[in-house]
Amino acid sequence: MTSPTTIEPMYASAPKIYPREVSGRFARLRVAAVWLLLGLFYAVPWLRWEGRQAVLFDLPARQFHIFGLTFWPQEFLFMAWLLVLAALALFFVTAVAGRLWCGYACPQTVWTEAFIWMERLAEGPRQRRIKLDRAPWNAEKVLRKSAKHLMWVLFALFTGYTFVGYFTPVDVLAGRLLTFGAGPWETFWVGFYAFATWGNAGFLREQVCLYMCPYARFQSAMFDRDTLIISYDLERGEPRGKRARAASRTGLGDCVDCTLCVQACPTGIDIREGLQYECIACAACIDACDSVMDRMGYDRGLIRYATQRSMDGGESRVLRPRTVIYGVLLLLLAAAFVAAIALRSPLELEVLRDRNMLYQEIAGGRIENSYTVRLVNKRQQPVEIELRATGLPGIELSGAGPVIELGPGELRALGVRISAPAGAAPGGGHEVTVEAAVPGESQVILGRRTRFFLPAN
Amino acid sequence: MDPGPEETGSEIGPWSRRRQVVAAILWSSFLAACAGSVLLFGLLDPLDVFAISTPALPVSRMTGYAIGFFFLWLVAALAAWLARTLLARPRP
Ligand code: SF4
Ligand code: SF4
Repeated sequence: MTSPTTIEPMYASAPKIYPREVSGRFARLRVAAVWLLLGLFYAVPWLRWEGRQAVLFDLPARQFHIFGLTFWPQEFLFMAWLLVLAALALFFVTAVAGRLWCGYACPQTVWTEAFIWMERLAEGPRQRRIKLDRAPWNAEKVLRKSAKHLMWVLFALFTGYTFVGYFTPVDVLAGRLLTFGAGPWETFWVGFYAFATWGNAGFLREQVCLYMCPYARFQSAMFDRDTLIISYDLERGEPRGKRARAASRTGLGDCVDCTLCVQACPTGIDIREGLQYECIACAACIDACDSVMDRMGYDRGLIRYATQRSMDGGESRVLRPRTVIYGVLLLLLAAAFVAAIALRSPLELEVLRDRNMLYQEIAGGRIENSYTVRLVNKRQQPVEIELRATGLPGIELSGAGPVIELGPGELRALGVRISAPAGAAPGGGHEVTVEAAVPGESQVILGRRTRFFLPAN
Repeated sequence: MDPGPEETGSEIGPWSRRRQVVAAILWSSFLAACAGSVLLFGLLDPLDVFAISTPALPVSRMTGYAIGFFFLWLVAALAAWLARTLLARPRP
Protein backbone atom coordinates (compact mmCIF):
# COMPACT_ATOMS: atom_id res chain seq x y z
CA MET A 1 0.00 0.00 0.00
CA THR A 2 1.00 3.60 -0.08
CA SER A 3 3.17 4.91 2.68
CA PRO A 4 1.43 5.72 5.94
CA THR A 5 2.16 9.42 5.73
CA THR A 6 0.21 10.05 2.53
CA ILE A 7 -3.36 9.00 2.69
CA GLU A 8 -4.83 9.06 -0.76
CA PRO A 9 -8.55 9.04 -1.23
CA MET A 10 -10.00 6.07 -3.10
CA TYR A 11 -11.81 8.38 -5.46
CA ALA A 12 -9.87 11.25 -6.88
CA SER A 13 -12.49 13.71 -7.91
CA ALA A 14 -11.99 13.93 -11.64
CA PRO A 15 -14.32 15.17 -14.31
CA LYS A 16 -16.59 12.45 -15.61
CA ILE A 17 -16.01 11.59 -19.26
CA TYR A 18 -19.06 12.03 -21.44
CA PRO A 19 -17.91 10.63 -24.76
CA ARG A 20 -19.69 12.25 -27.68
CA GLU A 21 -21.82 9.73 -29.51
CA VAL A 22 -20.77 9.16 -33.09
CA SER A 23 -22.36 7.40 -35.98
CA GLY A 24 -20.61 5.92 -38.94
CA ARG A 25 -19.33 2.74 -40.46
CA PHE A 26 -17.48 1.46 -37.42
CA ALA A 27 -20.18 2.38 -34.96
CA ARG A 28 -22.61 0.36 -37.10
CA LEU A 29 -20.17 -2.53 -37.23
CA ARG A 30 -19.92 -2.53 -33.45
CA VAL A 31 -23.68 -2.47 -33.02
CA ALA A 32 -23.88 -5.48 -35.33
CA ALA A 33 -21.21 -7.23 -33.27
CA VAL A 34 -23.09 -6.42 -30.07
CA TRP A 35 -26.31 -7.88 -31.41
CA LEU A 36 -24.56 -10.99 -32.66
CA LEU A 37 -22.48 -11.69 -29.57
CA LEU A 38 -25.04 -10.78 -26.93
CA GLY A 39 -27.68 -12.59 -28.97
CA LEU A 40 -25.55 -15.70 -28.95
CA PHE A 41 -24.80 -15.37 -25.25
CA TYR A 42 -28.45 -15.12 -24.29
CA ALA A 43 -29.77 -17.64 -26.82
CA VAL A 44 -27.28 -20.51 -26.63
CA PRO A 45 -28.43 -21.88 -23.25
CA TRP A 46 -31.90 -22.34 -24.74
CA LEU A 47 -30.75 -24.52 -27.65
CA ARG A 48 -31.73 -28.15 -27.32
CA TRP A 49 -29.90 -31.19 -28.56
CA GLU A 50 -31.32 -34.71 -28.35
CA GLY A 51 -33.67 -33.81 -25.54
CA ARG A 52 -31.25 -31.89 -23.34
CA GLN A 53 -29.60 -28.50 -23.19
CA ALA A 54 -27.16 -28.32 -26.09
CA VAL A 55 -24.43 -26.42 -24.27
CA LEU A 56 -24.24 -27.23 -20.59
CA PHE A 57 -21.18 -27.26 -18.38
CA ASP A 58 -22.83 -29.42 -15.80
CA LEU A 59 -20.63 -28.79 -12.79
CA PRO A 60 -22.78 -30.66 -10.26
CA ALA A 61 -22.58 -33.78 -12.43
CA ARG A 62 -19.04 -33.10 -13.65
CA GLN A 63 -19.91 -33.49 -17.33
CA PHE A 64 -19.58 -30.92 -20.08
CA HIS A 65 -22.09 -31.17 -22.92
CA ILE A 66 -21.40 -29.33 -26.14
CA PHE A 67 -23.98 -30.41 -28.69
CA GLY A 68 -23.27 -34.07 -29.46
CA LEU A 69 -20.02 -34.18 -27.48
CA THR A 70 -19.69 -34.93 -23.80
CA PHE A 71 -16.51 -34.23 -21.92
CA TRP A 72 -15.51 -35.79 -18.63
CA PRO A 73 -13.15 -34.48 -16.01
CA GLN A 74 -10.56 -37.00 -17.23
CA GLU A 75 -10.66 -35.18 -20.55
CA PHE A 76 -10.01 -31.89 -18.95
CA LEU A 77 -6.92 -31.64 -21.15
CA PHE A 78 -9.23 -30.85 -24.06
CA MET A 79 -10.53 -27.82 -22.23
CA ALA A 80 -7.03 -26.58 -21.43
CA TRP A 81 -6.10 -27.18 -25.04
CA LEU A 82 -9.09 -25.17 -26.20
CA LEU A 83 -8.04 -22.27 -23.99
CA VAL A 84 -4.52 -22.37 -25.46
CA LEU A 85 -6.06 -22.34 -28.94
CA ALA A 86 -8.19 -19.33 -28.07
CA ALA A 87 -5.17 -17.47 -26.69
CA LEU A 88 -3.14 -18.21 -29.80
CA ALA A 89 -5.97 -17.06 -32.04
CA LEU A 90 -6.05 -13.82 -30.07
CA PHE A 91 -2.28 -13.33 -30.50
CA PHE A 92 -2.59 -13.99 -34.20
CA VAL A 93 -5.43 -11.55 -34.75
CA THR A 94 -3.67 -8.95 -32.62
CA ALA A 95 -0.43 -9.24 -34.57
CA VAL A 96 -2.29 -8.78 -37.86
CA ALA A 97 -5.04 -6.34 -37.02
CA GLY A 98 -4.32 -4.86 -33.61
CA ARG A 99 -6.93 -4.60 -30.92
CA LEU A 100 -9.91 -5.68 -33.01
CA TRP A 101 -10.90 -7.74 -30.01
CA CYS A 102 -11.22 -4.64 -27.84
CA GLY A 103 -13.25 -2.71 -30.36
CA TYR A 104 -15.82 -5.29 -31.29
CA ALA A 105 -15.72 -8.52 -29.30
CA CYS A 106 -14.55 -7.99 -25.73
CA PRO A 107 -17.39 -8.63 -23.26
CA GLN A 108 -16.41 -5.38 -21.58
CA THR A 109 -17.03 -3.46 -24.83
CA VAL A 110 -20.14 -5.36 -25.74
CA TRP A 111 -21.91 -5.00 -22.42
CA THR A 112 -20.80 -1.42 -22.02
CA GLU A 113 -22.35 -0.65 -25.39
CA ALA A 114 -25.63 -2.23 -24.27
CA PHE A 115 -25.58 -0.28 -20.98
CA ILE A 116 -24.83 2.98 -22.78
CA TRP A 117 -27.76 2.31 -25.07
CA MET A 118 -30.05 2.02 -22.06
CA GLU A 119 -28.53 5.14 -20.55
CA ARG A 120 -29.32 7.10 -23.71
CA LEU A 121 -32.81 5.72 -23.77
CA ALA A 122 -33.47 7.03 -20.27
CA GLU A 123 -31.37 10.18 -20.11
CA GLY A 124 -31.08 11.27 -23.70
CA PRO A 125 -27.99 12.18 -25.73
CA ARG A 126 -24.73 13.63 -24.38
CA GLN A 127 -25.73 17.28 -23.95
CA ARG A 128 -28.99 16.39 -22.20
CA ARG A 129 -27.14 14.00 -19.92
CA ILE A 130 -24.58 16.60 -18.90
CA LYS A 131 -27.36 19.07 -18.19
CA LEU A 132 -29.32 16.48 -16.25
CA ASP A 133 -26.32 15.67 -14.07
CA ARG A 134 -25.83 19.35 -13.24
CA ALA A 135 -29.51 20.04 -12.62
CA PRO A 136 -30.89 19.95 -9.11
CA TRP A 137 -32.90 16.89 -8.16
CA ASN A 138 -36.40 17.35 -9.51
CA ALA A 139 -39.13 14.97 -10.57
CA GLU A 140 -37.76 14.54 -14.06
CA LYS A 141 -34.24 13.80 -12.87
CA VAL A 142 -35.48 11.24 -10.36
CA LEU A 143 -37.65 9.62 -12.99
CA ARG A 144 -34.94 9.45 -15.65
CA LYS A 145 -32.25 8.25 -13.26
CA SER A 146 -34.42 5.57 -11.73
CA ALA A 147 -35.55 4.39 -15.15
CA LYS A 148 -31.92 3.97 -16.13
CA HIS A 149 -31.00 2.10 -12.97
CA LEU A 150 -34.05 -0.10 -13.16
CA MET A 151 -33.16 -1.12 -16.72
CA TRP A 152 -29.54 -1.70 -15.73
CA VAL A 153 -30.39 -3.84 -12.73
CA LEU A 154 -32.95 -5.96 -14.57
CA PHE A 155 -30.62 -6.47 -17.51
CA ALA A 156 -27.72 -7.33 -15.18
CA LEU A 157 -29.85 -9.84 -13.27
CA PHE A 158 -30.96 -11.45 -16.50
CA THR A 159 -27.33 -11.63 -17.55
CA GLY A 160 -26.36 -13.28 -14.27
CA TYR A 161 -29.18 -15.75 -14.65
CA THR A 162 -28.12 -16.59 -18.22
CA PHE A 163 -24.52 -17.04 -17.11
CA VAL A 164 -25.49 -19.53 -14.42
CA GLY A 165 -27.72 -21.16 -17.04
CA TYR A 166 -24.56 -22.41 -18.73
CA PHE A 167 -23.75 -24.43 -15.64
CA THR A 168 -27.12 -25.67 -14.50
CA PRO A 169 -30.15 -26.39 -16.72
CA VAL A 170 -31.44 -22.98 -17.72
CA ASP A 171 -35.18 -23.73 -17.85
CA VAL A 172 -35.23 -25.44 -14.46
CA LEU A 173 -33.23 -22.56 -13.03
CA ALA A 174 -35.78 -20.03 -14.28
CA GLY A 175 -38.56 -21.80 -12.43
CA ARG A 176 -36.52 -22.11 -9.28
CA LEU A 177 -35.43 -18.47 -9.28
CA LEU A 178 -38.93 -17.19 -9.90
CA THR A 179 -40.28 -19.19 -6.97
CA PHE A 180 -37.28 -18.30 -4.79
CA GLY A 181 -36.43 -21.99 -4.67
CA ALA A 182 -32.94 -21.86 -6.16
CA GLY A 183 -30.04 -23.30 -4.25
CA PRO A 184 -27.91 -20.90 -2.22
CA TRP A 185 -24.95 -21.15 -4.59
CA GLU A 186 -27.04 -20.64 -7.70
CA THR A 187 -28.57 -17.54 -6.19
CA PHE A 188 -25.18 -16.33 -5.08
CA TRP A 189 -23.54 -16.75 -8.52
CA VAL A 190 -26.46 -15.09 -10.31
CA GLY A 191 -26.01 -12.13 -7.98
CA PHE A 192 -22.24 -12.18 -8.32
CA TYR A 193 -22.26 -12.12 -12.10
CA ALA A 194 -25.08 -9.58 -12.20
CA PHE A 195 -23.14 -7.32 -9.85
CA ALA A 196 -19.97 -7.64 -11.94
CA THR A 197 -21.87 -6.83 -15.15
CA TRP A 198 -23.64 -3.88 -13.57
CA GLY A 199 -20.46 -2.44 -12.09
CA ASN A 200 -18.20 -3.06 -15.09
CA ALA A 201 -20.59 -2.01 -17.85
CA GLY A 202 -22.54 0.65 -15.99
CA PHE A 203 -19.84 2.44 -14.01
CA LEU A 204 -16.28 1.34 -14.67
CA ARG A 205 -16.51 1.04 -18.47
CA GLU A 206 -13.24 2.03 -20.14
CA GLN A 207 -11.56 2.27 -16.75
CA VAL A 208 -11.51 -1.52 -16.84
CA CYS A 209 -9.47 -1.26 -20.06
CA LEU A 210 -7.17 1.35 -18.55
CA TYR A 211 -6.51 -0.08 -15.13
CA MET A 212 -7.56 -3.70 -15.05
CA CYS A 213 -7.10 -5.32 -18.42
CA PRO A 214 -3.95 -7.42 -18.79
CA TYR A 215 -4.42 -7.71 -22.54
CA ALA A 216 -4.07 -3.95 -22.96
CA ARG A 217 -0.66 -4.09 -21.33
CA PHE A 218 0.55 -6.85 -23.63
CA GLN A 219 -0.21 -4.93 -26.78
CA SER A 220 3.30 -3.63 -27.30
CA ALA A 221 4.63 -7.19 -27.12
CA MET A 222 2.31 -8.29 -29.92
CA PHE A 223 2.42 -5.20 -32.10
CA ASP A 224 5.01 -4.43 -34.73
CA ARG A 225 5.30 -1.99 -37.58
CA ASP A 226 2.98 -4.10 -39.74
CA THR A 227 0.11 -4.29 -37.28
CA LEU A 228 -3.09 -2.49 -38.21
CA ILE A 229 -3.69 0.25 -35.67
CA ILE A 230 -5.84 3.34 -35.43
CA SER A 231 -3.59 6.01 -36.83
CA TYR A 232 -3.72 9.71 -37.50
CA ASP A 233 -2.08 10.68 -40.76
CA LEU A 234 0.39 13.27 -39.52
CA GLU A 235 1.72 14.07 -42.94
CA ARG A 236 -1.73 14.85 -44.26
CA GLY A 237 -3.19 16.50 -41.21
CA GLU A 238 -0.45 18.84 -40.08
CA PRO A 239 -0.13 21.69 -39.59
CA ARG A 240 -3.61 21.57 -38.14
CA GLY A 241 -5.73 24.67 -37.83
CA LYS A 242 -9.19 26.16 -37.97
CA ARG A 243 -10.41 27.61 -41.22
CA ALA A 244 -13.61 29.21 -42.44
CA ARG A 245 -14.15 27.16 -45.56
CA ALA A 246 -12.57 24.08 -47.05
CA ALA A 247 -10.96 26.18 -49.75
CA SER A 248 -9.64 28.90 -47.48
CA ARG A 249 -6.68 27.02 -46.07
CA THR A 250 -3.34 28.62 -46.38
CA GLY A 251 -0.57 26.12 -45.84
CA LEU A 252 -2.74 24.14 -43.45
CA GLY A 253 -3.09 20.38 -43.43
CA ASP A 254 -6.39 18.53 -43.52
CA CYS A 255 -6.98 18.59 -39.75
CA VAL A 256 -9.39 21.40 -38.94
CA ASP A 257 -8.64 21.04 -35.22
CA CYS A 258 -12.28 20.61 -34.33
CA THR A 259 -11.27 18.12 -31.57
CA LEU A 260 -14.26 15.94 -32.37
CA CYS A 261 -11.95 12.92 -32.30
CA VAL A 262 -10.92 13.76 -28.76
CA GLN A 263 -14.50 14.35 -27.65
CA ALA A 264 -15.57 11.02 -29.13
CA CYS A 265 -12.81 9.04 -27.47
CA PRO A 266 -14.17 6.99 -24.56
CA THR A 267 -10.74 6.83 -22.94
CA GLY A 268 -10.20 10.54 -23.35
CA ILE A 269 -7.02 10.51 -25.41
CA ASP A 270 -5.95 12.48 -28.44
CA ILE A 271 -5.07 10.00 -31.16
CA ARG A 272 -3.25 12.75 -33.04
CA GLU A 273 -0.43 12.34 -30.54
CA GLY A 274 0.18 8.83 -31.82
CA LEU A 275 -0.72 5.37 -30.57
CA GLN A 276 -1.13 5.14 -26.83
CA TYR A 277 -1.83 2.08 -24.77
CA GLU A 278 -5.10 3.62 -23.62
CA CYS A 279 -6.46 3.34 -27.15
CA ILE A 280 -8.95 0.49 -27.21
CA ALA A 281 -9.26 0.67 -31.00
CA CYS A 282 -12.94 1.47 -30.82
CA ALA A 283 -12.66 3.52 -34.03
CA ALA A 284 -15.01 6.20 -32.67
CA CYS A 285 -12.41 8.81 -33.64
CA ILE A 286 -12.38 7.46 -37.21
CA ASP A 287 -16.14 7.83 -37.52
CA ALA A 288 -15.98 11.30 -35.97
CA CYS A 289 -13.22 12.46 -38.25
CA ASP A 290 -14.77 10.93 -41.37
CA SER A 291 -17.93 12.92 -40.73
CA VAL A 292 -15.87 16.12 -40.58
CA MET A 293 -13.94 15.24 -43.72
CA ASP A 294 -17.23 14.59 -45.51
CA ARG A 295 -18.55 17.98 -44.45
CA MET A 296 -15.37 19.70 -45.54
CA GLY A 297 -15.31 17.79 -48.80
CA TYR A 298 -11.89 16.31 -48.04
CA ASP A 299 -11.06 12.63 -48.47
CA ARG A 300 -11.99 10.31 -45.63
CA GLY A 301 -9.33 8.53 -43.64
CA LEU A 302 -7.32 11.28 -41.99
CA ILE A 303 -7.68 8.93 -39.04
CA ARG A 304 -7.89 5.35 -40.23
CA TYR A 305 -6.89 1.76 -39.69
CA ALA A 306 -3.33 1.66 -41.00
CA THR A 307 0.02 0.14 -40.19
CA GLN A 308 2.97 2.08 -38.96
CA ARG A 309 4.90 1.00 -42.02
CA SER A 310 2.28 2.20 -44.49
CA MET A 311 2.07 5.53 -42.67
CA ASP A 312 5.82 5.84 -43.16
CA GLY A 313 5.29 5.24 -46.85
CA GLY A 314 6.29 1.56 -46.88
CA GLU A 315 4.47 -1.52 -48.04
CA SER A 316 2.98 -3.49 -45.12
CA ARG A 317 3.24 -7.22 -45.10
CA VAL A 318 0.74 -9.59 -43.57
CA LEU A 319 3.14 -12.51 -43.95
CA ARG A 320 6.06 -12.02 -41.61
CA PRO A 321 7.82 -14.28 -39.10
CA ARG A 322 5.55 -13.36 -36.22
CA THR A 323 2.28 -13.98 -38.02
CA VAL A 324 3.60 -17.08 -39.78
CA ILE A 325 4.70 -18.64 -36.49
CA TYR A 326 1.41 -17.81 -34.75
CA GLY A 327 -0.56 -18.98 -37.78
CA VAL A 328 1.27 -22.28 -38.23
CA LEU A 329 1.10 -23.06 -34.52
CA LEU A 330 -2.59 -22.24 -34.52
CA LEU A 331 -3.30 -24.49 -37.50
CA LEU A 332 -1.29 -27.38 -36.09
CA LEU A 333 -2.89 -27.20 -32.67
CA ALA A 334 -6.38 -26.84 -34.13
CA ALA A 335 -5.89 -29.82 -36.45
CA ALA A 336 -4.53 -31.94 -33.61
CA PHE A 337 -7.45 -30.88 -31.44
CA VAL A 338 -10.04 -31.92 -34.02
CA ALA A 339 -8.23 -35.20 -34.61
CA ALA A 340 -7.98 -35.93 -30.90
CA ILE A 341 -11.69 -35.27 -30.42
CA ALA A 342 -12.62 -37.45 -33.38
CA LEU A 343 -10.39 -40.28 -32.22
CA ARG A 344 -11.13 -40.14 -28.53
CA SER A 345 -12.30 -43.41 -27.09
CA PRO A 346 -16.02 -43.79 -26.45
CA LEU A 347 -15.27 -45.83 -23.34
CA GLU A 348 -13.28 -45.48 -20.18
CA LEU A 349 -11.85 -48.67 -18.67
CA GLU A 350 -9.85 -49.09 -15.48
CA VAL A 351 -8.68 -52.37 -13.99
CA LEU A 352 -7.63 -52.63 -10.34
CA ARG A 353 -6.23 -55.78 -8.78
CA ASP A 354 -7.83 -56.73 -5.48
CA ARG A 355 -5.05 -56.43 -2.97
CA ASN A 356 -6.17 -58.80 -0.23
CA MET A 357 -5.40 -62.07 -2.02
CA LEU A 358 -2.64 -62.83 -4.48
CA TYR A 359 -4.35 -65.83 -6.07
CA GLN A 360 -6.74 -68.64 -5.37
CA GLU A 361 -6.87 -72.25 -6.58
CA ILE A 362 -10.20 -73.26 -8.07
CA ALA A 363 -11.64 -76.44 -9.56
CA GLY A 364 -10.07 -77.93 -12.68
CA GLY A 365 -6.50 -77.10 -11.66
CA ARG A 366 -6.96 -73.44 -12.43
CA ILE A 367 -5.64 -70.38 -10.65
CA GLU A 368 -7.84 -67.34 -10.16
CA ASN A 369 -7.10 -63.65 -9.41
CA SER A 370 -9.79 -61.05 -8.68
CA TYR A 371 -10.10 -57.51 -9.95
CA THR A 372 -12.39 -54.53 -9.91
CA VAL A 373 -13.22 -53.12 -13.33
CA ARG A 374 -14.54 -49.57 -13.72
CA LEU A 375 -16.36 -48.82 -16.96
CA VAL A 376 -17.65 -45.48 -18.18
CA ASN A 377 -19.74 -45.03 -21.31
CA LYS A 378 -18.80 -41.58 -22.54
CA ARG A 379 -21.33 -41.58 -25.35
CA GLN A 380 -24.87 -40.30 -25.25
CA GLN A 381 -26.13 -43.64 -26.63
CA PRO A 382 -26.36 -46.95 -24.76
CA VAL A 383 -23.59 -49.41 -25.59
CA GLU A 384 -23.13 -53.18 -25.25
CA ILE A 385 -19.75 -54.63 -24.52
CA GLU A 386 -18.10 -57.86 -23.56
CA LEU A 387 -15.05 -58.17 -21.30
CA ARG A 388 -12.24 -60.55 -22.21
CA ALA A 389 -8.79 -61.36 -20.93
CA THR A 390 -5.74 -62.18 -23.06
CA GLY A 391 -2.04 -62.72 -22.49
CA LEU A 392 -1.74 -66.34 -21.27
CA PRO A 393 -2.75 -69.67 -22.83
CA GLY A 394 -6.17 -70.80 -21.61
CA ILE A 395 -6.92 -67.50 -19.82
CA GLU A 396 -10.56 -66.69 -19.08
CA LEU A 397 -12.52 -63.85 -17.55
CA SER A 398 -15.68 -64.49 -15.56
CA GLY A 399 -18.09 -62.69 -13.28
CA ALA A 400 -19.10 -59.89 -15.62
CA GLY A 401 -21.83 -61.76 -17.49
CA PRO A 402 -21.75 -62.34 -21.23
CA VAL A 403 -22.85 -58.86 -22.25
CA ILE A 404 -22.62 -55.66 -20.23
CA GLU A 405 -25.12 -52.98 -21.11
CA LEU A 406 -24.20 -49.41 -20.23
CA GLY A 407 -26.70 -46.56 -20.48
CA PRO A 408 -25.73 -43.12 -21.82
CA GLY A 409 -23.00 -41.66 -19.65
CA GLU A 410 -23.23 -44.57 -17.23
CA LEU A 411 -20.40 -45.44 -14.88
CA ARG A 412 -20.21 -48.99 -13.46
CA ALA A 413 -17.82 -50.84 -11.19
CA LEU A 414 -17.77 -54.66 -11.52
CA GLY A 415 -16.00 -57.38 -9.58
CA VAL A 416 -14.47 -59.85 -12.07
CA ARG A 417 -12.22 -62.91 -11.88
CA ILE A 418 -9.51 -63.97 -14.28
CA SER A 419 -8.33 -67.56 -14.30
CA ALA A 420 -5.70 -69.63 -16.12
CA PRO A 421 -4.42 -73.23 -15.91
CA ALA A 422 -1.89 -73.62 -13.10
CA GLY A 423 0.83 -74.59 -15.50
CA ALA A 424 0.14 -71.92 -18.08
CA ALA A 425 3.32 -70.08 -17.19
CA PRO A 426 6.08 -70.14 -14.57
CA GLY A 427 5.16 -68.87 -11.07
CA GLY A 428 5.08 -65.16 -10.32
CA GLY A 429 3.45 -62.10 -11.88
CA HIS A 430 2.53 -61.93 -15.54
CA GLU A 431 1.21 -59.13 -17.63
CA VAL A 432 -2.28 -59.76 -19.00
CA THR A 433 -4.74 -57.52 -20.79
CA VAL A 434 -8.41 -56.92 -20.02
CA GLU A 435 -10.23 -55.95 -23.17
CA ALA A 436 -13.60 -54.32 -23.70
CA ALA A 437 -14.91 -55.62 -27.01
CA VAL A 438 -17.98 -55.58 -29.20
CA PRO A 439 -20.00 -58.65 -28.09
CA GLY A 440 -19.51 -61.71 -30.31
CA GLU A 441 -16.98 -59.97 -32.50
CA SER A 442 -13.23 -59.76 -32.49
CA GLN A 443 -13.25 -55.95 -32.56
CA VAL A 444 -11.62 -54.57 -29.42
CA ILE A 445 -12.64 -51.11 -28.29
CA LEU A 446 -10.14 -50.65 -25.54
CA GLY A 447 -7.63 -52.71 -23.54
CA ARG A 448 -5.94 -52.19 -20.16
CA ARG A 449 -2.94 -54.09 -18.86
CA THR A 450 -2.81 -55.55 -15.36
CA ARG A 451 -0.86 -58.20 -13.41
CA PHE A 452 -1.92 -61.82 -12.96
CA PHE A 453 -0.20 -64.02 -10.36
CA LEU A 454 0.49 -67.75 -10.58
CA PRO A 455 1.95 -69.91 -7.79
CA ALA A 456 5.41 -71.41 -8.21
CA ASN A 457 5.09 -75.11 -9.10
CA MET B 1 5.65 -1.90 -22.28
CA ASP B 2 4.06 1.07 -20.72
CA PRO B 3 5.94 2.39 -17.72
CA GLY B 4 3.64 2.80 -14.74
CA PRO B 5 2.60 6.25 -13.63
CA GLU B 6 4.94 6.02 -10.68
CA GLU B 7 7.91 5.77 -13.02
CA THR B 8 6.91 8.57 -15.34
CA GLY B 9 5.37 10.66 -12.66
CA SER B 10 2.43 11.37 -14.92
CA GLU B 11 -1.12 11.26 -13.71
CA ILE B 12 -3.26 8.83 -15.63
CA GLY B 13 -6.94 9.22 -15.50
CA PRO B 14 -9.30 9.76 -12.63
CA TRP B 15 -8.18 6.82 -10.49
CA SER B 16 -6.01 7.46 -7.48
CA ARG B 17 -2.87 5.38 -7.12
CA ARG B 18 -4.32 3.54 -4.14
CA ARG B 19 -7.46 2.67 -6.01
CA GLN B 20 -5.42 1.33 -8.92
CA VAL B 21 -3.44 -0.86 -6.56
CA VAL B 22 -6.52 -2.28 -4.87
CA ALA B 23 -8.17 -2.96 -8.23
CA ALA B 24 -5.04 -4.55 -9.67
CA ILE B 25 -4.59 -6.84 -6.67
CA LEU B 26 -8.22 -7.97 -6.57
CA TRP B 27 -8.53 -8.32 -10.31
CA SER B 28 -5.27 -10.14 -11.05
CA SER B 29 -5.92 -12.56 -8.22
CA PHE B 30 -9.48 -13.07 -9.46
CA LEU B 31 -8.18 -14.06 -12.90
CA ALA B 32 -5.57 -16.35 -11.34
CA ALA B 33 -8.25 -17.96 -9.15
CA CYS B 34 -10.45 -18.60 -12.19
CA ALA B 35 -7.63 -20.34 -14.05
CA GLY B 36 -6.62 -22.16 -10.87
CA SER B 37 -10.15 -23.43 -10.22
CA VAL B 38 -10.42 -24.82 -13.73
CA LEU B 39 -7.15 -26.69 -13.30
CA LEU B 40 -7.86 -27.83 -9.76
CA PHE B 41 -11.39 -29.10 -10.32
CA GLY B 42 -10.51 -30.62 -13.67
CA LEU B 43 -8.25 -32.97 -11.76
CA LEU B 44 -10.12 -33.20 -8.49
CA ASP B 45 -13.70 -33.94 -7.52
CA PRO B 46 -14.65 -31.95 -4.40
CA LEU B 47 -16.78 -34.89 -3.26
CA ASP B 48 -13.66 -37.07 -3.11
CA VAL B 49 -11.93 -34.45 -0.99
CA PHE B 50 -14.88 -34.20 1.38
CA ALA B 51 -15.09 -37.98 1.57
CA ILE B 52 -11.54 -38.03 2.96
CA SER B 53 -11.63 -34.91 5.11
CA THR B 54 -15.16 -34.45 6.46
CA PRO B 55 -17.13 -37.61 5.67
CA ALA B 56 -19.72 -36.82 8.32
CA LEU B 57 -20.83 -33.50 6.78
CA PRO B 58 -23.29 -33.53 3.89
CA VAL B 59 -21.53 -31.03 1.57
CA SER B 60 -22.35 -30.62 -2.09
CA ARG B 61 -20.03 -30.28 -5.04
CA MET B 62 -21.17 -26.69 -5.57
CA THR B 63 -20.05 -25.84 -2.05
CA GLY B 64 -16.75 -27.50 -2.78
CA TYR B 65 -16.23 -25.49 -5.94
CA ALA B 66 -17.08 -22.26 -4.19
CA ILE B 67 -14.77 -22.95 -1.25
CA GLY B 68 -11.96 -23.84 -3.65
CA PHE B 69 -12.49 -20.74 -5.76
CA PHE B 70 -12.59 -18.28 -2.88
CA PHE B 71 -9.66 -19.97 -1.22
CA LEU B 72 -7.57 -19.60 -4.39
CA TRP B 73 -8.70 -16.00 -4.76
CA LEU B 74 -7.63 -15.22 -1.21
CA VAL B 75 -4.24 -16.89 -1.60
CA ALA B 76 -3.59 -15.22 -4.95
CA ALA B 77 -4.62 -11.83 -3.54
CA LEU B 78 -2.20 -12.29 -0.66
CA ALA B 79 0.59 -13.08 -3.10
CA ALA B 80 -0.26 -10.07 -5.24
CA TRP B 81 -0.39 -7.81 -2.21
CA LEU B 82 2.95 -9.14 -1.00
CA ALA B 83 4.52 -8.59 -4.42
CA ARG B 84 3.23 -5.06 -4.46
CA THR B 85 4.57 -4.43 -0.97
CA LEU B 86 8.01 -5.73 -1.89
CA LEU B 87 8.11 -3.69 -5.08
CA ALA B 88 7.08 -0.43 -3.45
CA ARG B 89 10.11 1.75 -2.96
CA PRO B 90 10.85 2.16 0.71
CA ARG B 91 10.76 5.75 1.89
CA PRO B 92 14.13 7.17 2.87
S1 SF4 C 1 -8.18 6.95 -29.84
FE1 SF4 C 1 -9.97 6.79 -28.55
S2 SF4 C 1 -11.68 6.95 -29.97
FE2 SF4 C 1 -9.88 6.49 -31.19
S3 SF4 C 1 -9.91 4.29 -31.38
FE3 SF4 C 1 -8.60 4.78 -29.66
S4 SF4 C 1 -9.96 4.65 -27.91
FE4 SF4 C 1 -11.28 4.78 -29.71
S1 SF4 D 1 -11.82 14.88 -35.98
FE1 SF4 D 1 -10.38 14.98 -37.65
S2 SF4 D 1 -10.42 17.08 -38.26
FE2 SF4 D 1 -11.35 17.02 -36.28
S3 SF4 D 1 -9.66 17.40 -34.89
FE3 SF4 D 1 -9.82 15.21 -35.10
S4 SF4 D 1 -8.37 14.73 -36.71
FE4 SF4 D 1 -8.77 16.88 -36.82
